[in-house]
Amino acid sequence: MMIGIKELLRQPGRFASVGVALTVLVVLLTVLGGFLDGLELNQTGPYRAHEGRLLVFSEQSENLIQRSELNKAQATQLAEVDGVAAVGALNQIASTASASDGEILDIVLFGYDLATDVLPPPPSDGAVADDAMAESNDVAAGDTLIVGANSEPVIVASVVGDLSQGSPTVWVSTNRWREIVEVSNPAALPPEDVNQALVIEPVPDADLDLLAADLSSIDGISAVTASGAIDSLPVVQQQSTTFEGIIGLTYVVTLLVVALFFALITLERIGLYAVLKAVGAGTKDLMAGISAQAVCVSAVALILGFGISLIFINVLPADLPVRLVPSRLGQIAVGVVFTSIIGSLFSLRRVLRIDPAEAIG
Amino acid sequence: MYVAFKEIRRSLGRFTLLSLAVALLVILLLFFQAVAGTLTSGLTGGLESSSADVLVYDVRARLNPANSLIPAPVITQVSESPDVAAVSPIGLSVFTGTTDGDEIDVQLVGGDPTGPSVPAEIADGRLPQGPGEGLFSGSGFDNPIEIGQTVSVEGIDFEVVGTADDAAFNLLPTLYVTFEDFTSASQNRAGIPIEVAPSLLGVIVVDGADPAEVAEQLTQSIVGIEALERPAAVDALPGVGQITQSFNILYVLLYIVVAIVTGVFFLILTVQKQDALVLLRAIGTGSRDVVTSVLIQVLVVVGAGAVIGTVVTAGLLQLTRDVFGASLDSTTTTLSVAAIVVLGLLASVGAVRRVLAIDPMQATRSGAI
Amino acid sequence: MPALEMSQVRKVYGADDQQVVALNDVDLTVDDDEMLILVGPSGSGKTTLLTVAGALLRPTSGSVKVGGVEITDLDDKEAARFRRDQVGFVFQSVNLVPFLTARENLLVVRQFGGSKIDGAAKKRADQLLDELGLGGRGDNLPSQLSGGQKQRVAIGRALMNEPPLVLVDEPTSALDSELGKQVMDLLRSEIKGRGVAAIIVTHDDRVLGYGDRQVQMVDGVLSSAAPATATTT
Repeated sequence: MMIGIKELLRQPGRFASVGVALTVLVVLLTVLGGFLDGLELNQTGPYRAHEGRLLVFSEQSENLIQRSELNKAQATQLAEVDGVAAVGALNQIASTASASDGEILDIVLFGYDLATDVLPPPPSDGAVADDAMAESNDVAAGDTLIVGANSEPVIVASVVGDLSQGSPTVWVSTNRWREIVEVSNPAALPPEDVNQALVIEPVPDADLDLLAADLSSIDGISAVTASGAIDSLPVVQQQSTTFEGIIGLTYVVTLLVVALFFALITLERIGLYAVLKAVGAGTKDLMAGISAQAVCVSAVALILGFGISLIFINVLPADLPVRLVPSRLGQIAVGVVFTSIIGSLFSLRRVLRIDPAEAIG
Repeated sequence: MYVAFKEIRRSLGRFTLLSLAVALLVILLLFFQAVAGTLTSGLTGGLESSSADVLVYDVRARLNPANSLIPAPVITQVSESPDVAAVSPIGLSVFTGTTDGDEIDVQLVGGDPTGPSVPAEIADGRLPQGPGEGLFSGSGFDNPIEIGQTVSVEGIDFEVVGTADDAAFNLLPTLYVTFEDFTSASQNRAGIPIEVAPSLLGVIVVDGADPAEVAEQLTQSIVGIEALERPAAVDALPGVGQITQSFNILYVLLYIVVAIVTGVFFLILTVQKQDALVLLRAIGTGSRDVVTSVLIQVLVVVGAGAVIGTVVTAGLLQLTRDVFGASLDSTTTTLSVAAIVVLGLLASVGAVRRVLAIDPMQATRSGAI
Repeated sequence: MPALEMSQVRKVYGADDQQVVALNDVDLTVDDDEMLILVGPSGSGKTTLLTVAGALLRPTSGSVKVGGVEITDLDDKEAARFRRDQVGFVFQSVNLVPFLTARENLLVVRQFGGSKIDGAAKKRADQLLDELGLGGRGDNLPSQLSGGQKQRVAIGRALMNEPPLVLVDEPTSALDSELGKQVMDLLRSEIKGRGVAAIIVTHDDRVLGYGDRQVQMVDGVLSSAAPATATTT
């Protein structure tokens, strides 16, 4: 291994080419990952605000809130299941809101009953606004939003971060939601005692997956965790499939770049490796050196690639849905290092075939 | 040239590997273009393929078709405006429908099938002519519905009488029906005979008129509306700007990756055969011959990679049609492949510079370590 | 116990009509402090004998024992370990690792097989470099050393693991007469001073006098064995 590291330190120029190629691939992976996360996170804020809770939809709705309807009897049935501490309503409708600056925004208006780790208890009269509105239109607590076609005024009680669902969201109590929908879009108002979805607050220390399975066994009910609901969203599925396909292919390219580089560099070093084998180096020693080089080159490429991506993403227009999430960066780091090690091992066959006798004569 | 092809023949393994690497980059680019194109057209196809030159929105909808409702008097006002040849209401709403016993989300587009509410081009079959008929366009992500199949929405059975390509709204299976059927479906869902207003108006301008000017003039002259020519309306769709801008950035990044990675491969290859090149220079081969040999190899490798990449991508997209619903577009593919070949040649500048820097004197020195 | 015992060693390259017999039933014994000079024309099989003795090549038949241990049936891993611990090689083309300093070129053989380079190894490398007259050159890369200095580093690498058998291939072929003499003086003093066995393959008449014994090889056969004509120290 030492010999590999020494070569890297003494002759870094030899590795510049593969380093540059890996760096641009890291930038590509990071930006792709950033867009994937950005698109997903920007569309799933309301679901993620319910982490630690269960979301319940009607079974035929495929966990899509706009297709789901649950009646009072079902809500009562759910409340009686062991492990359920509280059941609350969750309804949504696409609407518009005008902020104090007069600009009309597309919003999604949510009606809810239960506080979560993210959402405060529903304000009795006012609303919780997504901080996307605070950023784009300086909406702050105390401001009045004019919601819907019939201009219902809603006073912002507080601003909470990361609640967007494609558009910014505004959260009011279920009763207020019904009032607003009734006047602005009566055709979309669910009948009395019917809600689109229900939120289950579990008793402390409840196993969410087990509870979800229990609740889902009730006829006509589908209970999922927040991440389960997110996975059911067609737009998330389609974007994830697209981006994950591209990201997967980028890893294959990375693998091939590393494999090709080390295959070519091994061809160049056959004489040297023959000498080292002649003086007692095993294939394992030589491969450890090659893999150590691959790890070091990929580590440097990761540092440079992350740095460049950070600068690149910062100069992109602010409204683009791109977010750097630490877990994604960790995933890319592990993925690139692992891919590089695998790529470097492609030289194994060639190294194995090197005859130490070539060192002599 | 002789040396270039001889080397390729003798080191077939190495050059095959290089071609495969380039092929993989081509796959990455074409695959991304295809699936991203499908995703974008699933969002924009409905408006993009529309036969309307100009689209009219309720001004409060902020160019979002989902929020727009056009009051009845506006239809008359628009149709009486100068340079307007035809007007059709366009009703848009997402319904839960069933087909072959499966429940699906379906986007209904209600309008005048003889006016500017339907796609400009029909792929197969015909336009709906009366109640109970529909023209289908898939999003690419769903199973296609074929001519003759029936889709039931709120108690109305629609027989699919024609199909159109890339004319879906909101990434959903989309059914173009008469405005009367659209109204009935909306009323059936509400349970009461509510008044159903169109979301948009589609306008065809008279021959020779500029749609952008007509749109501007409509916006100015009629209170409460905002009109845009079709391409501007497509760009204004919510989220579309963000997605197309994001994809454009990724295209640029991908081209950079293709150029750099291809360049790096050839640089490595040139460095690797430096001794042979030194020898060639020493026995009298001119730099021009050696450079030509490198460029020919780049062309062969990148060309072969592009062909393999295109064929594999086409196969891959065919195999994953259920997942991505995408296929290769011949114009985009040709342009991309040409761009990759040019980039490959540009990227080999590093390798060529290396060749030009070779001193034939090196051949007289010992290469031993 | 002899350092090297070769008995009825045969090495055949190729097959059928293309067969070349590089070693033809060779018998050779080298005592544990003997310095043997192996001479012969090009293609006579000298280098093959060296590679077989050093476990770089397996003979087609016959027995090769180093320090009493049979080496013809070692697998690749065992052969690598044997070469690392029991044999020191000095190659014709020197073959130093270009990106390692003189000291690191000595230390590198200690590091194979998962061993660690400890203080004792570093001390031994410095001591060897001093003995070889390279005390101030330990941190120089091969490109910063002259031909003679590189050859001395190669000798140091061969002796680093204190092997009982040193195999040297054409040590003076790339050196002028003055440097060649210096290198051979050094080689003899290092080998004899340590009491290890050595086989030196050469074409160079100037080297003949450095051995305890001289063996000639022609067409794969050890055709004559004669005592060294002179000993120079």
